[in-house]
Amino acid sequence: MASQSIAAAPPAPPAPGAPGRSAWHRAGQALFYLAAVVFAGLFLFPIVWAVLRSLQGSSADVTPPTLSTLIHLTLANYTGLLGTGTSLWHYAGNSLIAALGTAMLTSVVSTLAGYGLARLRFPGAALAFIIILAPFMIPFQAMLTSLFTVLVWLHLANSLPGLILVYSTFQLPFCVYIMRNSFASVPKEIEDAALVDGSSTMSVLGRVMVPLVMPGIVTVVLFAFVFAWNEFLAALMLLSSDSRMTLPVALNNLATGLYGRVDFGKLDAGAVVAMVPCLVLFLILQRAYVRGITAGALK
Amino acid sequence: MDRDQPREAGAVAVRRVPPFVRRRPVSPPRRRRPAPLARARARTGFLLTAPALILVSVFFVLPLVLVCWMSLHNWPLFGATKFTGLHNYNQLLHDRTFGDSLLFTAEYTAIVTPIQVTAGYLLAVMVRHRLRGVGFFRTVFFMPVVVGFAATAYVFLIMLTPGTGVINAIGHALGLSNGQTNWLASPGLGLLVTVVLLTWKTVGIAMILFMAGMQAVPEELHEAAKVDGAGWWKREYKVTLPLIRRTTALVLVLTVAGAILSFDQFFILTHGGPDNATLTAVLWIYTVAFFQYRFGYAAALSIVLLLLLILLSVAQIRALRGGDSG
Repeated sequence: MASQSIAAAPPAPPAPGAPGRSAWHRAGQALFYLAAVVFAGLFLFPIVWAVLRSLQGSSADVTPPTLSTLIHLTLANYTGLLGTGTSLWHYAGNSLIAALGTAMLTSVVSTLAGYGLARLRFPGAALAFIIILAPFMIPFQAMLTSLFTVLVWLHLANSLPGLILVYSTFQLPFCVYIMRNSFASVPKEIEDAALVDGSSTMSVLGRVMVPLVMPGIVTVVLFAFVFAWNEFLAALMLLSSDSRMTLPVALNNLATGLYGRVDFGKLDAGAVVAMVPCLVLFLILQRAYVRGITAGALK
Repeated sequence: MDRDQPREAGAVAVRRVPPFVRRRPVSPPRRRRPAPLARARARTGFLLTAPALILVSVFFVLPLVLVCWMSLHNWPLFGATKFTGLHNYNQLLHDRTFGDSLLFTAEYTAIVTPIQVTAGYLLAVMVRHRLRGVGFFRTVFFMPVVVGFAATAYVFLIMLTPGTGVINAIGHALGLSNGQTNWLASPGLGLLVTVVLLTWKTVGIAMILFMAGMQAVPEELHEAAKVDGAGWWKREYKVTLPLIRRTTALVLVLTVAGAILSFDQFFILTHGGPDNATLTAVLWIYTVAFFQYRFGYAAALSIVLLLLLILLSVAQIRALRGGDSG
């Protein structure tokens, strides 16, 4: 929990001066709330607006927003087909497969490696750790053509499994780092006690250790899911048949008019579907997410 | 993480279980004791790490080696490849578009970074206190971080559409424009839009990092400074700022790294236009590879980007090591 302690510890902000002591302080508080509300409005506006416009049927394409368009709401943009006869939900399904697949593969692989690297020292462990961290230094954007070529060789281009393998690889540095730290912070005695009881290494991992590092696993799953759900460039590069495209890529075809006239209502609906799952996950698992940001950053 | 020693030691000490098996250092690093059981455990350790190593070997190390190899070839998408030595690199030196794309990427980075650091710092100052409702504001400011760049780019695209977009509608209603401004067709406005999008989308990370850094500054230091008669500004400037230098370096590096790899917002919003005025390095590499099908040449361009990223990583390590004593 070493690096997680900062975020996990309840925020103890150094409030300047005792609250509510002076008129100055009152004024400061009022100023804070005023500024905070204005900023909150600015931050929320694009998201809220996208939701509102996506509920306005086809009128959103041809007329500027007015009060009456904001009152007449319809779900038509969410139910109709996008140009090629495929529905928004088909692409969302592809995104879900990619995101869940990446989350599962990444969490399993990084949990195993994290335990191996933190607790089962083997010759070359330090080198292995460095190799696994390397994609963090050189992200895939710096080798687009060769990555594409490798996937073609392996017959994994234009497939969701291929995409999942690529996503997992480039999420591993962060996730193995998190899991290795999580395992390293479990007191050695807990593991030793279980080993003395005669359990095998693997059963200690499964029964004793995994429950103890659950916060780390939640963070890893969350980051892998959010990354894969949102990723654009690799999906754009690797997926060529329409039926396999993830949501962000399909929306690009919609936005560039590949399906004919650009349908802004549907594009808005698609963007909302692309945003909402991550927002909901974040609102539920906020602590795990922020813990990941600070833990990953403190290395 | 070595820098957090006191905090870490404290955290571990509290959770320590009475040592009833045998005494061993609790802290993670370096434990070398060859025991009979150790060999079996070492083998298991290697086997557990193997899946990660295989993934990284196939989808990172192999492409990394291949990109160097491809950069020495004329490598079309289909058909035979031909070894051409350093020809691609020679050509690269005369590639005005690539040079301009690097310049634009640098310009974009230079604009975005100070904005990101300043805005992140100010937001952190705003939300670091324990006032009622502050959690809500933290959440709201951080929310855009978790949604996709592509999705938010589409949202901005729609909001900026001439005639029907809400930004134009507001401009028209306020009498600032005729409501037909084509934001993405002008280099200056296009750049402005992508800067605003990036700031809105990622400033939450800077805010959270700064906030964590500020909260780790010991309260006593502020108290002491106050006793000495230092006002708010002075305490912020003389106490907080120096103690969060490492956080500042980190935010800088993260922002620079993110900006250098910019692709989504330019691909979706400006397409690198008008006239390649907003063409980033990654966007140009993508274009060379997947619109012109010149894989070998794109690989050579990638090598340049790759070297830049390695330089940046070295700078990052030095910045984080040599930073403050906090």
